[in-house]
Amino acid sequence: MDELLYFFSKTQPRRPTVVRQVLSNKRTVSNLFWGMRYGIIDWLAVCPRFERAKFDGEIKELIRRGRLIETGDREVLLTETGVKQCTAFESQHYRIKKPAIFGALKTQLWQELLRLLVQVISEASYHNRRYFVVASSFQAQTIIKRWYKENRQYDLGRVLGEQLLLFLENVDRQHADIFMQLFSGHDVIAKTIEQVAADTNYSACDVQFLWEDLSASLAAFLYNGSSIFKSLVAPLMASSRLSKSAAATYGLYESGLPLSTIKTKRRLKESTVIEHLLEAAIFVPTFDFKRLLSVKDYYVLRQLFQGNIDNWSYKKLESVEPTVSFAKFRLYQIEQTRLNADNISD
Amino acid sequence: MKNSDERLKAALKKYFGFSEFRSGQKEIIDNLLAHKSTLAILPTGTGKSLCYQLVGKISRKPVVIISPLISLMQDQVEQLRFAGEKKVVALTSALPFTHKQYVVNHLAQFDFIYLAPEMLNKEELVAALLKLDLALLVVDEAHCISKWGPDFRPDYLALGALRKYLHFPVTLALTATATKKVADDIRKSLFETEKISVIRHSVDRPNIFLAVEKVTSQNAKNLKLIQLVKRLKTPGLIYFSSKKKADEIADLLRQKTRLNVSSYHAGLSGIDRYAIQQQFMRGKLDIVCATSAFGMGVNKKDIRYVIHYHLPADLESYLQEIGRAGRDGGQSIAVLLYQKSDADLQRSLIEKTLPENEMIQYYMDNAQRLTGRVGEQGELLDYYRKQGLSSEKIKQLFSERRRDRKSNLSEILAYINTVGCRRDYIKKYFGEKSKSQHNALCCQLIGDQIPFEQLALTNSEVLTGSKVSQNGGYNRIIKKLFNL
Ligand SMILES: [Zn+2]
Repeated sequence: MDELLYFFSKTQPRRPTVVRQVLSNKRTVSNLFWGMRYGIIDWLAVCPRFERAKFDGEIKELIRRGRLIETGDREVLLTETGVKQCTAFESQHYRIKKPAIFGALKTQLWQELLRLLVQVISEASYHNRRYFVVASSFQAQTIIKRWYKENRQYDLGRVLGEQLLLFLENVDRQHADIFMQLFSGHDVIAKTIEQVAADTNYSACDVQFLWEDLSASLAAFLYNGSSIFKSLVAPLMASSRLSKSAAATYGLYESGLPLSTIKTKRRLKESTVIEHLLEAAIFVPTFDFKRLLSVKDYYVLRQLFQGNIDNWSYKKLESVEPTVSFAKFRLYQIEQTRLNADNISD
Repeated sequence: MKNSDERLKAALKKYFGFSEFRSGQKEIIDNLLAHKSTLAILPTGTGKSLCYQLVGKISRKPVVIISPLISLMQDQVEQLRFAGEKKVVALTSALPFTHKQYVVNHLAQFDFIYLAPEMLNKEELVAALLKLDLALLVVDEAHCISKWGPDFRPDYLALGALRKYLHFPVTLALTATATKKVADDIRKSLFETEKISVIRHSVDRPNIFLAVEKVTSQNAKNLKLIQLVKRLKTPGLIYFSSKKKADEIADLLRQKTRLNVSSYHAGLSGIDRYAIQQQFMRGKLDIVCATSAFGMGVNKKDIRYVIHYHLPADLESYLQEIGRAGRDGGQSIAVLLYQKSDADLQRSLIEKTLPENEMIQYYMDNAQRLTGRVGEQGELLDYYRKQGLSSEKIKQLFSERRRDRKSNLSEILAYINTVGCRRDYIKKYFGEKSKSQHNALCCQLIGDQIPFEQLALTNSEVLTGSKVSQNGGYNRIIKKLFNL
């Protein structure tokens, strides 16, 4: 329950609903925008199966215990007690360090592949062909079989060993030890999550997070490296953080086509095309805002809005200059958020 | 004949690396190779699966195995693969659709095809089976066919019809324990009037000492259990009828003893189940607290004791479960812990899983709406209704079944309370004629102490200590893993 405190702030009122929807990967533009404003957009898709009732219950309990306080309009703030509790919690539990990878990686499948890969290469390092294969899906077994056939001529044991050592060099020692205890191989039997938890001060949930976090980070490490294993990870790693459909729309936009042509080519409503572009504005660092905002738009927006971006209201704009659309207003907010990344409170 | 015996032995050596058959195996294989269908009643751990595997190997034709439990099937597939057999597949409803489709379309490519009984409802699959030139049809856990048995599976009733459809292939029906009634049921529904060979081995395992410990409360039961596991030579297996209790007691034993204990049940992830099985197999765990999900595929020879924390549903499953002890032939012990309220728990379980007349009537009156939605009780109801049985007939079947389950329960209670030799009681129950010579190493008579010293089952060895945690730092693990 206390891990939810990570997602709230002492100074910036935040809506629990947005937090929940970001964690469970509900990609509406509004969620993405506020996720960006809250500085938690990297957590998109970390808990895809978080149940609404459970989440709401925990928030209620945190309010009851005075760790969060309601500030109206379904928003809450961290209290002084909440901040203390959060720090205390963090010192005793594992906190996911690279949440952004979760959104880009097929995590479930990768974890299966990784376990199988380690076992297969480990047994091969001892020239053993008779062993019980770790529990895994048909899909994972097929992928590993095919990959292994293509690459068996290389000294896989040595290379994988080196890659793991390199990767774990930059990981906390205790965390690295725990991580490696979760693998089975030749004459090495994995411990269960519960067994590792019993040996350490961590809960089973912490160990599970550690496993997911480090296996995802390892995927990114191999993906960004140039070892033979890159070819195994690459198909599981999305090149962009955009949804598939938004990526297709943005591709056309990037090639310089006008919106009207994109609309026809993609057979989408104009509003959908705009939503896709807003998603791209949030995720793509090189997004070209100037193509959608005219000099005049900038002039109007700059005149009207300064200070804390959270508090800007489209109503104010609408009453003065109704020709500037809500989408343009949102784009400007996104761009300004980018420019003063410092202004994002945590 | 002699010549063929030698060839059989050579095949055994070649495919499995054994030089001798175990009792019963050769008889069965001879039968099957002579195209005689066979019902084999052999205790667990006697190497039943080797029989059909060898027949498949020798005749170079596919073998189809019907098996009731996904976990069991998976274990057997893994074991065949472990033995170097690549053309093995298990078709269950748990497989993703595209994979199922692929297997059905390429059925002829596999040498060993494991099927969950519910898969036989798929017409394409049955049509594909008809095209195969089968060496053998195997019905594993054949007692599931008997409505007298505790594990009755409605889908198994369709197996007789399947045989007919496949033009009566040579069939091997396997079961570990069957009373005469159950054996008759298997014959009738699978083979009708066909002449078959029945091979039955005694259910008795002389190297397993039989004991019952009566306690008066839950707390006393836990204390008794702690006392037992502290005293007994490991490894050991403790059976529970609930996952929650298995977890709870595993925790308790970890706190109260220095033993390495883990729980095992269907609630764990596949990865954790794998790890615990392997740890247990390789002697890194002293005790597994398990539900009946455990053990099917675990072929660990040196289990020294099996303790039942809860009452088993009947003597058949009890024998099946204690049969995991002492497969190496060494002295072992089975202890049944019993508290009076355990029987009430079983009684309420019977009521919960078998619908009453009122419920049956309601279901039949609203069948369209309720089909597939009644949970555990509904599976059988759905089946009977699809068979076109009347409400009255169904009510009658269920009340018979309720009566059977209650009588199974009273048999277990009678075993607990018997004043005579427990081994004799079991033999009599399974219709065996020979009497055993009761002595101090046979069983614990009611009111007696367990003769631990005499059995040489006391824990004199050094404990496994912290073997599980000896994996060490990440550096060492990586070097060990990849032989660096
Ligand atoms: Zn006796």
